[in-house]
Amino acid sequence: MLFPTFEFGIFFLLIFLASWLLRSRLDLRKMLLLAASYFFYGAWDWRFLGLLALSSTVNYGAGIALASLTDTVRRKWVVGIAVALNLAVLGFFKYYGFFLTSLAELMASVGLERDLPWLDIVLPVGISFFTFQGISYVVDVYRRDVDPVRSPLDLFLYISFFPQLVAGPIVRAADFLPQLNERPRLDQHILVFGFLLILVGLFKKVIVATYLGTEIVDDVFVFPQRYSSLDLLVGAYAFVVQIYCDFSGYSDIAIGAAALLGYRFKRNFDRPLSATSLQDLWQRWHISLTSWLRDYLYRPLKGNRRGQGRIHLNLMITMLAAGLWHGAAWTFVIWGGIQGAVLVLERTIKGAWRRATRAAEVAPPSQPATWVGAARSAVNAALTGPAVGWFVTFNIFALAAVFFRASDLELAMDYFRSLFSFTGGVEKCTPFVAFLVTFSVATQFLPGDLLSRLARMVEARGPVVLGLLLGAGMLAIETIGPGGIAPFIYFQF
Amino acid sequence: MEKEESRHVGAPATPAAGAASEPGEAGVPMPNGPPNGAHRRRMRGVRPDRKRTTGGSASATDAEPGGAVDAATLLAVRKGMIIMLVAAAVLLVFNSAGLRTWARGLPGNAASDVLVATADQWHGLMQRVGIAAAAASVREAVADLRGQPWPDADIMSAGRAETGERD
Repeated sequence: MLFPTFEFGIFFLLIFLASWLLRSRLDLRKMLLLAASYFFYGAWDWRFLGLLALSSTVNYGAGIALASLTDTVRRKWVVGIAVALNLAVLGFFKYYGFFLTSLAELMASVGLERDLPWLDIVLPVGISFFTFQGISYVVDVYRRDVDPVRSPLDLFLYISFFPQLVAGPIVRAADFLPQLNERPRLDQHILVFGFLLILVGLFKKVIVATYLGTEIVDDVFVFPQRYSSLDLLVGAYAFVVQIYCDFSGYSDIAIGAAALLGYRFKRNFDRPLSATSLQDLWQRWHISLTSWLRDYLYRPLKGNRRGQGRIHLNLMITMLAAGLWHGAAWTFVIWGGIQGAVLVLERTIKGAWRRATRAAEVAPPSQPATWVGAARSAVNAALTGPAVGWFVTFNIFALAAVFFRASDLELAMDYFRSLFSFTGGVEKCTPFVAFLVTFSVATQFLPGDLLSRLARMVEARGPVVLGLLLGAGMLAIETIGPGGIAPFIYFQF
Repeated sequence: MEKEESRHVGAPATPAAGAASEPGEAGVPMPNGPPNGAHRRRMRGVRPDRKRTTGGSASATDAEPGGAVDAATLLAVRKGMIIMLVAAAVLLVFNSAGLRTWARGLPGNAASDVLVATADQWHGLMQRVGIAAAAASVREAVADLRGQPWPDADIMSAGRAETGERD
């Protein structure tokens, strides 16, 4: 069941009504939301409902076991087994084929070809998201950052809550579980803000992401050899905007839908395409995943106490894991490797720059200020200014995204060969495409609280006026958008 | 040390991430607020203290006084229902073609047959009234916009022809 469909509209309307009717009966409300979440997930593929329940059961059991144990060694065993089980399920469904393919290629390269136990495995939608939520819960209980959940209903709902089930954001137990046991509230501002978020999310997905996909990205990433360098450059830019709008659009709708049901999710994107460094970008892009990786992978690696080399190594490991999380293919590993390498490079350059600046500050002035000195300062300011930082960051991110989008390494290399052949002409980069890309990037520089301010401006209007506005907005999106909606890109992750 | 550590990872806890939980800028500025602040502290790169979440029963909070909050919530829920129903009505009237397409895509059974027939009738009515034509005109305008070439498209094509069409 996709968000921008009639089915979801009807489904959500019914759940909204029923859940608020049960507002004062929290357990019944949770049961309703759990049933709705399983129905929502079953609409994708009912066969995986058992997997979702199994994942929840394992994590619930681990939480209870951790609560009853005081011995550190035993607690470590329990958390280790629970995390291993979570990763085993994820590994089997997501990485089994990748592992066997890589193994077969490796064996073939050394002349050891064997029959391998190939399986036709269907990837359950959203498995990476609910697995990561389960791991975060168990580890948080182990660290005593959250109390174990006594009610299985709470844990099952936390893992499967439908707005974020199939494509995030990855919600933390510490954020969500307490909300389940408070009487849900709604006010005019949240109501209007929630609807606005949904509307913005629909616009991003239905119009920007879908058009960019069909107008340029899908074509240039199938036969890059057929297109000019300009088409391919804009194609890479368009893909970055497409995936941003696709994924952040989903997050917006998820956050908005949860808000209308009385639950608060944190922001998952914070205008990442306006970032002036890659580090800045990763602090604004898929925040729930990057903070997850920070808390459950980077920090446990404990690099900061062991020197620069170790910090850089841990950064690389974290970003390679981020790449592999996105997909079971070498293209994703390379993409993660590029992110890690550029982050290390940025860190090194910034460190050297800081040292040089400090040295210049403590050194006595060797000569009086001259126009040469002033010019040098101006050049330095320009080179380190936000505009240059944004340009470099955006281009690095867009070019690295070629590996993210290309179906295999060969295609990615073809893309780069054609891109750097510097051929002229335009075919796919139409004014419409150029407008969508430029407009989308430009909106990234608007204030982050713009939507909230807009909600404040209109929230006092009557429900009929707001309904007409919402209806007109949805109608405009439906009418302007192309017929048919492709699934969200992040469903495959 | 933790703060320093967090700055080194690609994505970590920084003012950007922390700001995401501020009202008005957060994903959603809920009146419930952050549950216990633990996660917010973690987002800022500080290990959360031992202030823990509760997995307690529903009854613990059922007895909240907050009559004003309750009234505000009920008002907002009622308003939300009306907003959604009015929006649905707008879509039904002005997007009858979309409704028909959706109905025709449903799996075939007795109920969907009735739905398809009703959607067809409804769309026919909207066409007769002239409302359905408005959406069609917008779609045509968008299609024209998509097909617009650059003003100097000939020159660009010529440039491309000189370099040779690669296929």
